[in-house]
Amino acid sequence: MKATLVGMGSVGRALVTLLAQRQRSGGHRPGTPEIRAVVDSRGARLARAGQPLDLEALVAAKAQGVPVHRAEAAGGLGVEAGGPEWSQRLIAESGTELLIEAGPTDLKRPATAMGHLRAAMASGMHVVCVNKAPLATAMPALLELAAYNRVGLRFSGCVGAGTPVLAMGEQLARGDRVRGISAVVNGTTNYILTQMRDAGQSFGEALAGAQQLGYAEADPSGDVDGWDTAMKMVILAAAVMGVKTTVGRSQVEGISKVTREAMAEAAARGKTIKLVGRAGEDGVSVGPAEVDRHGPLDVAGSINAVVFRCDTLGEVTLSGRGAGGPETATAILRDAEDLAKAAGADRGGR
Amino acid sequence: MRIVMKFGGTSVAGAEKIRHAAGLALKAVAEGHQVVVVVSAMDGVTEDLLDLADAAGSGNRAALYTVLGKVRSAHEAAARALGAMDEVDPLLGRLETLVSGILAVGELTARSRDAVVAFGERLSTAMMGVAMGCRAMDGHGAGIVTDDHFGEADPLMEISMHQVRQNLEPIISGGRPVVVSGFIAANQHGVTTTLGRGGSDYTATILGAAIRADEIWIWSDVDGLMSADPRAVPEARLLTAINFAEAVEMGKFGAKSMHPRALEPAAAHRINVRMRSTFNPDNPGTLISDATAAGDAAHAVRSVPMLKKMAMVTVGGAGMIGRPGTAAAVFTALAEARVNAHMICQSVSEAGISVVVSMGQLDKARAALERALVKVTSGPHANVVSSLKVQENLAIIAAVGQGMKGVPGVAARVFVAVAEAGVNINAIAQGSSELSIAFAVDEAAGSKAVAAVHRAFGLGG
Repeated sequence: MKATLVGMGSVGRALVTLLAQRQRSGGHRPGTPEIRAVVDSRGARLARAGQPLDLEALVAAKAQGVPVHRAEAAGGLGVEAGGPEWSQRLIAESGTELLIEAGPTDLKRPATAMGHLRAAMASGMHVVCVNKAPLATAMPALLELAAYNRVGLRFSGCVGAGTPVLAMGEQLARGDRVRGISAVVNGTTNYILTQMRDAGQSFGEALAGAQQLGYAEADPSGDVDGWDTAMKMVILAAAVMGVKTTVGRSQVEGISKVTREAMAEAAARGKTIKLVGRAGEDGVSVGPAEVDRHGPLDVAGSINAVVFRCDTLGEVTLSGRGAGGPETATAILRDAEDLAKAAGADRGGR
Repeated sequence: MRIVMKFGGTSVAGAEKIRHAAGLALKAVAEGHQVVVVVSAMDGVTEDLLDLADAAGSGNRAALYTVLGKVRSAHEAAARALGAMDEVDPLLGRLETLVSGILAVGELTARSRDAVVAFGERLSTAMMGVAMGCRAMDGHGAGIVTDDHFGEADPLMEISMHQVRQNLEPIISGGRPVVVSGFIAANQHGVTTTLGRGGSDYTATILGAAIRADEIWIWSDVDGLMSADPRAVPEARLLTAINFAEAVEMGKFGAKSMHPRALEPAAAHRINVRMRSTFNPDNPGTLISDATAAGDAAHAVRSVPMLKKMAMVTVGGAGMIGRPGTAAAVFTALAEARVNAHMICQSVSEAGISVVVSMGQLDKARAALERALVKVTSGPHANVVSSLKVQENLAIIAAVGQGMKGVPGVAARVFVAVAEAGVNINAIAQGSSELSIAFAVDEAAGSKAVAAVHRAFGLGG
């Protein structure tokens, strides 16, 4: 499937690298997207008819800080950003069949990514989205647009990165009913809380340490205030339980008020404090909570754990690495293959 | 309080009325309310614009320039008085360019008709924005997105609500009012569409649901919903409060209610709707809310609306008895001819089906039924229907009230009252919702029957 990739951050670069490796090794698999256009915040690079983009040259240029429209070595045509909604117009006129939205998740300004998704679906393009912001703020609207335009919308990389959390939840929801979901899905807070427990640090000390190591961003609020977890839970709730909600309607509390003392008290009782996201039929809530030490939600560092509570099967837990560029890129390829298969079936193919 | 106010065509017909409507909205703003104003086109302008579009499409230059002149002078007069020429003049220029284009091409599509008609609301919205000294935008600008069904577009509700929230919330949260044109929206590609049935009221309830308004006020030239048409029953009273189900039912029977489609978003999100008059703004009007009154015998009937200029077509024949599919054939034939059936009755013996349609659609209905059922000599419907009878000049009268649900004897009281007034009933229907009992009588006796039912249930007070 011919694809437009938006975003050349760690996920976008990892995806392009993976695709370049496949291109070189000749291990072409059916359903692997063919990147015909790449968009970053400053411009775009479009493949010329009949000629592919040199993906490795593109990654090399980005690694040197060169925006895609200036990465001449990658071949194709560079287009500089210009005018409002330029990227939407570019997507709509790209002539590709798939949009891969891997731009930065910005919960305060989801409009840019939302515009990309709208433009793509209105032009009949399928969408793979690993940008959580538009999904978490407008999931019902996006599902409506996908259904109305009869296109596929996949976003499995939004939760658990490469670990197929959504796929497992969707499987469980077939035949059984998923009543509730509890999850630890944010690596930054998990690192901080583990440091507080094991090294006896205060929240402030642990956060500073995490920032030094690059585990937490300069503005850590998205993670430590619980918003990243909330976004993931909203997406899970919609995809697995059909619960229509948004981040704005969720109850969200971060971990900044968790104390060393509370952590020690919990430990004395065989418990530990985690930032737990919960999804139920009445919506989503996020906050610090005590979980059993060595229980299913007591996972370390960047490992995510998701517990699905089902009517018949009881509790089913999935855990695995929940972050990382290559991991998320794998999820994109998985979604793209699914979409290609579904589109092929629609056309009467195999 | 957060209020969406919609002003109908008569409330914005001319500079004086626009000023008055703007004053009502600004008064609410001054009282500390957050206000979104929705406006219709000036009274009669939508019809003029439809004529204009037709004239352009059929190449009738004389009609085109006559109507264009009329539209132009009405708006210029109002705009001059309001100091809104800077806003209105470019719009009129664009309208002229558009119809000239249609004239040149010689073809009017549903899409170009919507583009022409939309100018009615664009113009009134611009003038209201100037009169209120605030921002004005069209429904598309507010965020309403529809499908591609020009002339009768359906909103894509989730994306519309999402975008309206994004666009309007920052304005009204800051205490600033905003004017939005009713009736018009756009498809996903930004091409202008119109909402058709429900029109500007529908815009108001969509916006109200999106921003979670406390109330939606529908301003018009009447105080609200009445217990009956005051021309038929002088002692008819204003209904101060009804629920959504009753309002929908009254709307179906021609009361000056809102179109059921327009009530839907408000009912779904439980937002109160208030119908009130710009000419009598101190009157709180009729409140339509979620309150239920099922089984309330004292309010078994709240209102007695009447639809005039009706006709009844009855197909009959002994061959229909025990024969499945005849009713389906009747309704399919009517649907294919785009005839709206206001009331349907079937005798228990299955030997007859009566359908009440408006007089305006009678010929179409009769032709469709003859073709499908009477003049057939082969196939499953051959020789099933032997007669087709038509009764003209009827009125449908309905007794509406959610209180009748589960209360025995309401139908008896209705029909005794009509009988005692000496009026013969031609057909009867009750919906399974038990919200109304409808019957057809000769139009000449309509008012008498309405008055009798009105009196029997003590609606005159």
